[in-house]
Amino acid sequence: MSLLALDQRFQEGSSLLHRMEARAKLLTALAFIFAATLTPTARWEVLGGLAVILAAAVALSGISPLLVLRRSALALPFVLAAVPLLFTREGHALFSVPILAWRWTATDAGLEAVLTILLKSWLSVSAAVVLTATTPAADLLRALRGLHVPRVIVATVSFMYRYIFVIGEEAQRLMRARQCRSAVVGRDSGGNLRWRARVLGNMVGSLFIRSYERAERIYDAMCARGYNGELKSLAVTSLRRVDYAALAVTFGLLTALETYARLS
Amino acid sequence: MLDYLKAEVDTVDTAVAAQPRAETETGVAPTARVADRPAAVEVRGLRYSYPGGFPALRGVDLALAPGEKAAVVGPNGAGKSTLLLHLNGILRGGEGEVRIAGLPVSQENLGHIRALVGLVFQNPDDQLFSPTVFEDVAYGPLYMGLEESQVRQRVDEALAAVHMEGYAARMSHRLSLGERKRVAIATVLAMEPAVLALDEPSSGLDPRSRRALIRLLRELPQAMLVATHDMHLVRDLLPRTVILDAGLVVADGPTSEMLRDIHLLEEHGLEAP
Repeated sequence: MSLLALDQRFQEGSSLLHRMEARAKLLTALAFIFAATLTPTARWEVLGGLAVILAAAVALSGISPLLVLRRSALALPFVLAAVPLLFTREGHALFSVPILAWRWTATDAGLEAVLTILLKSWLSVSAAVVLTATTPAADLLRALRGLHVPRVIVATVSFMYRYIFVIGEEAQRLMRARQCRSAVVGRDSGGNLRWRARVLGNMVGSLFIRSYERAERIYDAMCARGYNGELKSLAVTSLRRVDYAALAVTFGLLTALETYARLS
Repeated sequence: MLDYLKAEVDTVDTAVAAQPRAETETGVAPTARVADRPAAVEVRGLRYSYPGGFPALRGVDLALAPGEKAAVVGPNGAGKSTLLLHLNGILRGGEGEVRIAGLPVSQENLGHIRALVGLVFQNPDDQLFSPTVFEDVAYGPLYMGLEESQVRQRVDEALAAVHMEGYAARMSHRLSLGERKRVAIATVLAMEPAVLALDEPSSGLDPRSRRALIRLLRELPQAMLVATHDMHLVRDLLPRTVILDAGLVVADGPTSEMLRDIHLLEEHGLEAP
């Protein structure tokens, strides 16, 4: 189940990127995504520059470029949302396709827009892939805390990360129990769609109630160890000189690239 | 606190064995007789009904001497877990009184009580709610207001006590059930409690993990109240047994005698190991 592979994002390693402080990495990745988003349409050399920075990060991290490519494929389905741009932008006609009763004409400006969006989203997702592959989730949560993200939000994400596996396994057990009792005997096995929908609804409901009851038990467990409504945590690790240097270099590079994209 | 408890364990064990047991069937509480020290746990006339009216406890009396280890056994629904949840004030609002080391469990004492009573829930997935082992074990000490260095020291000590050194950075959900049970115990040991309240500590464990758990619990100096169906655990670890049925203490005495009384055990849905 893909859900259960969520905790296998982190790749053990001791590269420069692995050793970098989580907050510095998180900020760098965010700055990179920000820069990619700000890049104007069809500035291929700027997008190329961003790709070079990303490639350098991958090389420094020691993780396999293939792994990054495979995981960043996650971005592709979302690019479908940009495809209509191909036909709606004004510009020179490239080709036209008949869909339903209309002829849709693709333009060169539309193609540029779609390609830019494709590259931007792929660069952004790849940056996130490199971040999660070199930083354990627990460190990322600490980094969020260190960056003064409201504690309630960090705590919520942290609970979600802890229990998504537990609830996922519970769901898996429910599905298995259903499969075990879904023998096929004769033609009318499995019931009609309505009946099956009701079974699924019951499963979702039961999963919700179980989660709700678990939440109450967890709250009791928190209270038993002194929780009083205030969220506390240990101080986060401090940034070292190497982290500041890495931050300065990437921020400088990104600012230069984006300034160039706008001035020339 | 731990050292002082350790020193007392032997004397308490003998004192407990020599203690005359009251006839609990008439509802008289056996009180701890350890001189000039308050009982680790003292429960008097405890009654509690769940919202909806189901009476879970109907007048429970129980006392536990410092360092004493007792089993709470009885059929499902007898009120074992409900009793444990009263020890640190997670459940309150019924009738009767609960005192921990002489301190009444009340709203104003709650912080102190929770440091004194280490409650370990049956399912370690409920007890371990942080992403990593370290954060979970540090949780209690952090809420006790300790300095960061002290918190780290407590975590190291607690993990060493359950033989889980080197697991601090691990993700809780990746551990085996036996390991998670150990870490769950460490999360309360880090608070250096005087009393451990354990709910079904051996359920779901394979024989080897169970033996390891029994050895571990035997090493711990705290007073212990263990709610369980595992009569082997009772025989091997807990010198005293309290039988709870339908919210009442129906028998309370040395485990060796109780386990010989087949009739009594069967009457309350139990069996000898």
